[in-house]
Amino acid sequence: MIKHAYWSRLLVIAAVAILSATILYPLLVLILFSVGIGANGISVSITAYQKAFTDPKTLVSIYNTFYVAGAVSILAILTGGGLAWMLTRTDLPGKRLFKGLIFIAYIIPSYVMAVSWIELLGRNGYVNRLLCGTWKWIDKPIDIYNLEGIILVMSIHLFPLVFITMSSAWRMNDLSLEKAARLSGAGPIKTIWTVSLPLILPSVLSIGLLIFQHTMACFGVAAVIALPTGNYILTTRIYSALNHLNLPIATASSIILLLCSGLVFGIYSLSLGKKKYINVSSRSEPPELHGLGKWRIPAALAVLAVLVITTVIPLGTIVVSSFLKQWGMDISLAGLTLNNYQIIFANGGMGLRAIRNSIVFGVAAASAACAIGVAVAWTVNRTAFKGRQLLEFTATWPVAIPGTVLAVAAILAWINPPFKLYGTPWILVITYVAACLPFAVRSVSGSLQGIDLELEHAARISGASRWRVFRDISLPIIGPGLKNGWIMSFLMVLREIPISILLYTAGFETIGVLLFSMRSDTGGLEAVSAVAVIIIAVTLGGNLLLERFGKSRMEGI
Amino acid sequence: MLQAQLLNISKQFAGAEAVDNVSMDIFPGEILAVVGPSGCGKTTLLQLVAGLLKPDRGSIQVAGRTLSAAGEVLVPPEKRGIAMVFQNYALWPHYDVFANIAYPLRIKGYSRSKQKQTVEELLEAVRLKGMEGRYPHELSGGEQQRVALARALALNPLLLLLDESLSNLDAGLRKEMREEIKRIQRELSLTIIHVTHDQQEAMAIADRIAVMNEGKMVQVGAVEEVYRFPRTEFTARFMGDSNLLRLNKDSPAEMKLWEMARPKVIEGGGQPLQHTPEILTVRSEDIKLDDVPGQLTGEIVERIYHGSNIEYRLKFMDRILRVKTPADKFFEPGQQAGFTIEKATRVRADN
Amino acid sequence: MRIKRKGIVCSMILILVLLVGGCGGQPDNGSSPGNEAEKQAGSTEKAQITMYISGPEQMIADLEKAFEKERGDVLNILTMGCGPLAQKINTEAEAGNVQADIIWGAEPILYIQLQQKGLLEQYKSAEAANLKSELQMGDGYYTICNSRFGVIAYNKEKVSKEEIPSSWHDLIKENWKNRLAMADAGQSATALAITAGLLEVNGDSWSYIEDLKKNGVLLTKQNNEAIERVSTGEVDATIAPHDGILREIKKSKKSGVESKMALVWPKEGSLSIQRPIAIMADAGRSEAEQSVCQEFIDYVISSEAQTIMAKYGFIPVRADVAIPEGVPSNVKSINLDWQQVASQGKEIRSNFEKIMLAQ
Repeated sequence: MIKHAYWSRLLVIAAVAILSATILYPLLVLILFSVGIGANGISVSITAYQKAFTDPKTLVSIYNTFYVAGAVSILAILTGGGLAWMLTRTDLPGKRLFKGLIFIAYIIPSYVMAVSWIELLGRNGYVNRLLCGTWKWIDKPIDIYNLEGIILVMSIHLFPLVFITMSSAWRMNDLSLEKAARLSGAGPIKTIWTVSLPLILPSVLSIGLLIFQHTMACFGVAAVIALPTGNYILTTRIYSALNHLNLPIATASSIILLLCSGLVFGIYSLSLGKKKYINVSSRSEPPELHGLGKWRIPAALAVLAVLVITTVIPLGTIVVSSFLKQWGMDISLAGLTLNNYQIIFANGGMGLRAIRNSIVFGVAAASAACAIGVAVAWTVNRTAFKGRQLLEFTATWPVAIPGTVLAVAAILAWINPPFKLYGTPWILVITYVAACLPFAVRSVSGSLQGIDLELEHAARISGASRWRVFRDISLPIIGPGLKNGWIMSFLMVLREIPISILLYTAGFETIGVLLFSMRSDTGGLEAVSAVAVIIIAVTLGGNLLLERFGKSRMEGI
Repeated sequence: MLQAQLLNISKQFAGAEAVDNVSMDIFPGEILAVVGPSGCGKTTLLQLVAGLLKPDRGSIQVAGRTLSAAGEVLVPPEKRGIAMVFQNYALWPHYDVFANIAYPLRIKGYSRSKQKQTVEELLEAVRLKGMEGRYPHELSGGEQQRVALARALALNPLLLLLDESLSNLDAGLRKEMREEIKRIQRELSLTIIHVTHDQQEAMAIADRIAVMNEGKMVQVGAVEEVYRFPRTEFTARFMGDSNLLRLNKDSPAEMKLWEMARPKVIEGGGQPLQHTPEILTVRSEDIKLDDVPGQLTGEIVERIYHGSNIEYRLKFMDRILRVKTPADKFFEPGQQAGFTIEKATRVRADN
Repeated sequence: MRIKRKGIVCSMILILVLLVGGCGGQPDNGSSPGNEAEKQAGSTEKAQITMYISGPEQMIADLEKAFEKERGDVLNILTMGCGPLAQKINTEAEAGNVQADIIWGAEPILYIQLQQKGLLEQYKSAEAANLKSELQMGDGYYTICNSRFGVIAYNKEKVSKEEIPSSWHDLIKENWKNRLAMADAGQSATALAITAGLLEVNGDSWSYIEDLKKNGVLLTKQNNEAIERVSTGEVDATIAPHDGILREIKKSKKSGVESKMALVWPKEGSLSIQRPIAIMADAGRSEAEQSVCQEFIDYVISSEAQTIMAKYGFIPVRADVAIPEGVPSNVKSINLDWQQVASQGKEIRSNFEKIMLAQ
């Protein structure tokens, strides 16, 4: 690159400053607290770490955490990647419907998804009621309360993320490479195995890592599915320590989690090595689709079956539950009511306010995260600043940190003047931004890497300043990636519970707070389902709106 | 007055000299072809001129303005008034043809109607009328190329850089585009630096040729001059089919050929060069074949028919010579043929 | 194309402005109670106290409304579960800057710990004299404002008449295998209190908890989740606070469904868990704010507030307020020494988790 122009230096400084404020500073404060350096004096001690590391329960939870995260990553990649291939590279019928269903699967909050699976597969779930009660096919109910249960729910919750990323990876794949393999004598399966897959391997690993770390840091699903039978994961222990006023142990456990996550990141970096291919050129050709031939209909039915199980049935359960007088009751016309929705909107106007606040916070945080994501990705991929890789590494940190821990770190960091943001809505936005950043950075970085540098050079030669090149060329081309990142971030805020609960202030309730308060006892699970239905409706509506506006611009990419 | 001047330009990549102390003058209204094998540094040179890279040393001037000097880019690429057509055309996939070509005009702040008018003119010039609304992926390679050219021309540039711009086209199209570019260049009296690895293309399109090898400028001169009087072994090899003869006492064949060629040496436009060690180069068309055994006789081992001429591989003792004859000179492989060397040039050996 | 893009940008901005504007403008309508922005917009000399509460929202709203009737909008209430409440207050304390003026949690253990750290302010309410004698605890650092009982709830459809448990020890019998649920003492402070109570019932032996584990007891994060699992038939019985059970039954009734749940007051005694309220030690409060804090404590144990709370199933602290419907007048209660429980809290939790940890 040319020498660091003034504004690119400015960009880097801004990126560093924002990352420091949103991520590094709160975590640093948290870590200092855990070794005894805090507002209440300094007494350095690492006993918390010793305790956390030597507790045998910790070992079991580490093992469980790895097992769950590994299995979820593999399952989500297989499902999401396979579906992505089918939907981008073959002439499968019904693609629009399938894509819509996958998107819906992603909107459903993981917690609600878990609850709806309990409603289906719990000991008294609808499925078990049919299987052992009405039909008497089996004498022992299917049990969802185990680690495999989390794996099921988290895989279903996260495979759409893989789908989104892998779809663009498959689309960017240079088709001539596959053709070359076919001509070299490789059959279709062998071609996919030896050429297509290795080419998208970096994308697979990258999204796999994200899923792995994200699963490691999740608690909501584990709390309803694995906790009941005493299957603890690391986050269970963190939450339990926090509840019992043991901040040092909680932090130490979080650090263990971070270390595990960093270990995985290290393996990822090593395994990736120099495998970075850029196979997107400016000569975008319309994708050529594999003909499925006589398998077209069976394949479509198979995809439909997968999506019915992963999306339609849970979604149906949630929608039906939202109209039930009581969650889990036998479904009959007499059992239906609109009461649950009334409760949400009656509740002192809180329901409506929470939805509106969450949308505002979501738009703000997602936009900010994407802007920072762009700055970080740009710095990493387009400048020669030393240590620029660290920026990306830091920005993707929060994915490995449970929401509760992020919130606690934020409280510690932003409670005392001069940085007193605690008690204002700003702390929520900042913490949301930190939580969204990994998704935003990954997806922007991925698409920026894919742009042929010549496209940017051509614009500069045409007289555009760096800023205009960015605005006119790079931004529109990374547009789809950016949009994905934005939607992921926005949904993240919309569904988020622990950060909201710990950081909200009166008048600035969010959907997370609403979910919690519905959950606690005003509404019960049927009202929680109603909130989920509203979230899904709002997101789908917003997406439809965006699509109407955004269409016709992006054709050809 | 020079249109552009490069003075002692050097650029290192990872410790290796990609461009090594290159100086070059570009005259107004000429097409200068920079040729060399892949990796010789020619694309790097182009990017230095465009301002996309910063030179480690040396300076670049265009139209009397110093653009880069002493390790700095003084004028950023967008302010240079230099246009470039990229190897892969670099058409923006999210813009249609009109938007692609109009982009430089938009930046300049042309009114919508003026943009429309200019783009129309340009599309006419590159013969793509009526394609305004297409997107790049809907165009063929040749059409994409023309759009890229039109976009570059929209700038009304002081200097147009073509980076292997014809390499991705098939032979017929390449010829057509070559002529097209020449026509447009004449009409607009453009100054062009055209980078290519194809010496045929370079000779066909350029007024002057600059030969590059391993980052160094080996020879710059008018097309025939470079072709007729290569100064180095490399140029001789690279520019057309040459037979290189070395003074090699261990090889009787080489000695015999040398004796025959030595008196036929002609000197180039410049002063006779004192080359050591001396190498003689004999162009394939400068060997004359005869169906009767002559001063030296060899055996035809291969015949390659080119249409307008025929190329033979002639075995003389342990040497194979390349010979080009008019299409009416017909020899069968296996036939004995006498030959004479008519012209030879002295070149400097590459180490 | 250009115009189109401008259109998108404009409409996005418009949407944002509407949303933000709506959000900022809404408090000015002044219709919603407990809105901080509204208070900030109001005069600054007005006293305002911040309260963290864990408890049924509707009850809190009722109390707030009643308290603010004469005083105006003086309460800034944040409701949350007992877990987040502990996390929040503890984190604030660690940072040396407690934001809450009053905290109202679910059990005394948290208060004892906070008192030990010197974070609670002593206030001896004049009303406290009316408290039942066994509830006079905390020496003014915290005040008990109601109590509840850890009891057994069962699902009437799933449990036959003969099977209905009558004592704690019934639950560890063979026939209850895989039919039980309770909140995790590691996750919920109330569950920790219940666990302490169960230990007391069983003569300080962990065998009871071990037997529960043997019977495959399902753990939940919170108590009301455990209750929910009984009401939905997921499990057949649970150990949980009585008020949540009563509210769940009431809720069903309200939505027109006969609840499947019923309550058992175990014959060994019900586990009495008091809900304290306390003023946080804070030098920064104005006099007006200080007096609002104290007034609120007085109010919470007044007969008016106690009547409201009784409506939501809580046992009043005053003898002059009737106990809630559904609670027998002669409940045999097991009272715990909270100081002792608090000092053993870590150990209880650790043991509990060790027993429950899946093998």
